[in-house]
Amino acid sequence: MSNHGQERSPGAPAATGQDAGDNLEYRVAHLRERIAGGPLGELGVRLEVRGEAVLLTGTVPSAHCRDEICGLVDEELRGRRVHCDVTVADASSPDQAEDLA
Amino acid sequence: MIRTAAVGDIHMAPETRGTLRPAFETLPDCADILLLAGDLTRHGTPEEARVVADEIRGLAVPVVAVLGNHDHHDGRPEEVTALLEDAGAQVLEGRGTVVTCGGARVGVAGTKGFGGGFVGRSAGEFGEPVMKEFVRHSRHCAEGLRASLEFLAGQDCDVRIALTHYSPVPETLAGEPLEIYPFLGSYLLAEAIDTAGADLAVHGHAHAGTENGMTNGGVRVRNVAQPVIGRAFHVYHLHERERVPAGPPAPTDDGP
Repeated sequence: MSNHGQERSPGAPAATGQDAGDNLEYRVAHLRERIAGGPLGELGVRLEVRGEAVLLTGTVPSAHCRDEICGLVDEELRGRRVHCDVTVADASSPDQAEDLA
Repeated sequence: MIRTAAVGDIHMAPETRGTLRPAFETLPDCADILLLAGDLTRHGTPEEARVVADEIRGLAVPVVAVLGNHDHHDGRPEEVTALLEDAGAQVLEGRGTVVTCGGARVGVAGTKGFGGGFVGRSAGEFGEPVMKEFVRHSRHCAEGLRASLEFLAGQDCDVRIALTHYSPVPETLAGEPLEIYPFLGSYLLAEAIDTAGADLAVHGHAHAGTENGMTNGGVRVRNVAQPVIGRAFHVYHLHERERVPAGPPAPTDDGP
């Protein structure tokens, strides 16, 4: 059975019907759905499995929102390395305009 | 010259109250109109819509908006619309409006739009009822946009702008995973824009996309999702006499 490039913890058993719940790729996919469809309602954050770690990228409207998402991912993937590279949107005025002549 | 400010995907909620107001208060110095390209709230609740309303209330420039998918999430888009309109915005869905900016008449045609994908890679109205409904909704939005732009063509506008949440072209999605393009926009919107004609098309929705694009008919497209433009808004200067017509380029000045 192929693991589709999925990297597992050293010593982890091969994915079978019994341990599919531990499959990091599926866990991350379901977590992404929760972040998008749950109370957070955040579709702008990307979660990617990078080896043994999980990388979060994207831009969110507030530090509060970023902390909520990164906190949830940390909690749900406890024991995994989670890199939260989520940034907060810049709310400053532009310093130039584009001329569409 | 018409100075058009635009932003989408501001995703406001109580914890972001007041964050955009300082920038919006600078608008009269740099813009004649503010366009909001949908996803103004996180979940489309009235509580969040009140935050957006307070952000734009009493601004010295007219505000024209469309809603996005987030603004529909709570199932109360009419309430969101009413709250924004109470704060002075015009919220468009399948209709156009003419805003007078200085001496210029700016026509804005708006729809949320929807997905379905782009030419050669699009969903069809076939099979399961939910699939047919998906494509019908996209077509309905595009038809509303076309009709609104055509209405504006008869309103002596100096410029016409198509305002959507979903993208009319794939070019401004560059940076998003290709696999999700059908959920980010529809070529039906671009076809409507090129059929009816416009000077600029503005959309949001694709946070990881790219700002600049163009329809096949030569209408410039700008993705103004806040994460893309990296500011509270961007400003585009439009010139009344240099509209880009729909269809192929006009012949030289000695042509028919």
